Amino acid sequence: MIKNWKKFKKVWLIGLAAVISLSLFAGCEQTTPNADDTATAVTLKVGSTKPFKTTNRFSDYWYGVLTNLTTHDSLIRLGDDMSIKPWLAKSWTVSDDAKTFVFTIADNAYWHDGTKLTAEDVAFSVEYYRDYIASASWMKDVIADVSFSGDTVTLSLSRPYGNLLTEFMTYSIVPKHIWQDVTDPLKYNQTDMTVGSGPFVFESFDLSSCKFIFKANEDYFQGKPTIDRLEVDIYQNMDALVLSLAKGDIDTWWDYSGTFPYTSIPALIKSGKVDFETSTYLGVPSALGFNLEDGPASDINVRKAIAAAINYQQIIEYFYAGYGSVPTTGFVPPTHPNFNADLPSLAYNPAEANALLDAAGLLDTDGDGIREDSSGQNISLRLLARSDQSTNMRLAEILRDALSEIGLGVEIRALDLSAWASVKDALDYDMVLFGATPWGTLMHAGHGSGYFDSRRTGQGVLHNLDAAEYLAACDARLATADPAQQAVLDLRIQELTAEYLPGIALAWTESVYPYRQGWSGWVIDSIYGGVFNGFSFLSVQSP
Amino acid sequence: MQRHYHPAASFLGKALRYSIVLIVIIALNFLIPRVMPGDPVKNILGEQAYYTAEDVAALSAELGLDKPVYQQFGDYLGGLFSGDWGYSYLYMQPVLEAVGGHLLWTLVLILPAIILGALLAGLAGLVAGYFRKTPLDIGLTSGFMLVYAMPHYWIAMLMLMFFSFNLGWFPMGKVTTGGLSGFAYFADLLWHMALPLLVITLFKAAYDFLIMRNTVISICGEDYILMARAKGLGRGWILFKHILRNSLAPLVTVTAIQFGMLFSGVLLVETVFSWPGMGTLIYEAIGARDYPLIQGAFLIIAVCVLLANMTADLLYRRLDPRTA
Repeated sequence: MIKNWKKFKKVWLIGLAAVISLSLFAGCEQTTPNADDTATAVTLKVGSTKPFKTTNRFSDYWYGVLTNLTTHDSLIRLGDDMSIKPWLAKSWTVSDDAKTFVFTIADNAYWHDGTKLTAEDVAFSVEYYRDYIASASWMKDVIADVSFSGDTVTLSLSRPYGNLLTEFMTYSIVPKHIWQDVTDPLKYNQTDMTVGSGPFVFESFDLSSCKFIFKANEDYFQGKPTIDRLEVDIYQNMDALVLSLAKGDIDTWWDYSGTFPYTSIPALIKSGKVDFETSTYLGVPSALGFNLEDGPASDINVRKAIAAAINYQQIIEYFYAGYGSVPTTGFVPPTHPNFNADLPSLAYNPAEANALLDAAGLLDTDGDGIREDSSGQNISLRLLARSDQSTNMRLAEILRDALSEIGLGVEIRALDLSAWASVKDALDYDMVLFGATPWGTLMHAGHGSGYFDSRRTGQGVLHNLDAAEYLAACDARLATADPAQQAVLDLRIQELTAEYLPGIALAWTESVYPYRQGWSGWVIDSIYGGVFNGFSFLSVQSP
Repeated sequence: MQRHYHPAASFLGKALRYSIVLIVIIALNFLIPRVMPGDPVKNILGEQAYYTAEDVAALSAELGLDKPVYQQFGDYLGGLFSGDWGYSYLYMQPVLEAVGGHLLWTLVLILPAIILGALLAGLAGLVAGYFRKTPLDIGLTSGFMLVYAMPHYWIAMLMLMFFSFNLGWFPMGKVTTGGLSGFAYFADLLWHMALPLLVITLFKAAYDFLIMRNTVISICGEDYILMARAKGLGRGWILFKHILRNSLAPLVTVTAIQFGMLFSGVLLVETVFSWPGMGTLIYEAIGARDYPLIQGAFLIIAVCVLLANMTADLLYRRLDPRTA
């Protein structure tokens, strides 16, 4: 061994060099089977910055959302006029007590492997979500029985749930013959897991080229898509995506619940290659929530004072390039059904803010510019912000400056999503910056109640309002399927939100959807974020 | 009296030391993610999901997070030694598979960058140090200082803007175009990696250059260099035979240390060029509090760093026999 020491050392070094070389060239052995042999095919290239991981729609949240648009179908969809449209369910009935829902399933839908999609698949899917998907476990409390007969599926609920149709807009139907034996769907990793009934058939996902490829479903029950081939290019940063769009490498952009960065719009206009569609964003891109249990913000006058200290127009100009409007105290934007137009707009009024704080007994007795609480301590409101969202950090600084103008100190606590959620759930804050997605504002009893009802759960929701009349209004809204009663309760929920101010919208925005010039026929989907959606696939025309 | 150890005994001693370091790293890798605020279960359940305490408890039990920490550590150690590094609940695949896919692409980028960066810095530092205070030295030093002072992600963005967007010479990031095989795939890979490789190489070279230049300057003042000159040896001989070899040791040390730093340091370059490497993986794993993935990724990096240090140790013996 000792004699061979030098030889051993050489071998070791040579081995190391070999490992380095292998590492360099290992990637070269990889091949992708998808050579583009369809030169004449109409291809839509879409850029996205979503962090896709796998092609299992149950385990990869973002791929799940993408499949809702491409490879899979839900029973119903939200139309661009905000009404519920038939999709896989060609019709439905709801009992007066909102406890029995009967769906009639389209008879011309097929899975991508050629098997017919039946009511049995729909019934299976509902049970599968209920029994195996943790994020859908609310169904256990609501859906008592699922049955099917012929082309109808009947859901019998254990309690009235008038918002069930809205909930079902986001749950895609999956094939029973593939998933029935899979008891751990999150870990399932077979090629058939991509089979759906949607307008596109999954073809490949290549991590190295960061690209999904789909081909049109020739037998799609809604008609063959106008696009033959769909490529979803994944970028890790928005700047590179914007450059690609300006250059013409991609045709459009997709982001569920996100808004296109307004600061990039001038560059796209300058490129002369991009046009835009716009729509009012259904969600609330930035909002300020309050701790209603403890601390200065638990006083409604303090919350009103904070609301009056914020210059909303400035936020719209600084962060949304003017593509927005000043919100009302009702939280959700006017595109929501049964919007309460009687609620007052939020207004920048420092004088009123100061008066409210004075009335609340928060005075600056020592003249240092910061008001003191009842114990004589300078007020320092803990503002929780997500450090992984750059806009949030700049917004937090703007708010800190605004509140200092009315004598309120602010301590910004910047944390990543996980830590932010833990601190938020522990109510270890006075104010919290958050955002409400389009779907988020519709969930639960709608109109933002999913974020504020104290009984709700979820990483992104505040669950900070436990006022009995608010909870009762939510329960009543969930318990009725009567449109007239729903309208009354929708208005009431917004009214109570304005009254208690569990959170305020900092801006309502116009979403801007860029696409390469020459494409036409887009339809905007308010839930899934823009021009990239199932309606567009049936109407969009290539240059 | 100086004690002399047999090379094999010395190697075994070092191996023992590295093993102890590795065990400490494994323990820290396990503990640190768990003391971070955040809940992996709530990450899995999602931002808007309605769930009950029972759902959270059931998922915790499924992931083994309901057990006492010491028991989780025991399970982790047992798994490590049996080749089971755990299951990533972010990627929903075994940790080794998730890490392997990303590690490859990071190595493809940083191994050539380390070698090219060291070569560039070594040569430039050698020349700049030897010709100190000449226009050549001032030019090289200013250039590398400029690169060093600029954030590397900013350089990356500038290159993407200029070479990819304006000139169209290179792609807008990613590893490959897709749909290629054989030589075409290899050429495509080189085309895609050119810009990120250039950025990382320049960044590493800028750091190493200053070390190399300073080392060369100090060596130039040594008596044996004066003696070499007095003997009438040629400039090239003095530079490459006497100065270069003696100034390489600090460069080797820095390269070994940088190996670990580069894994996470290239995160922003990976982000700019949409390169699916380890930096991205670690960032996402930490964000999701994916304990098994964090443990696996950092353990792999630790092993790589230890291997790099072992290599540096061996090279040191070659470069400076006095350290043997």
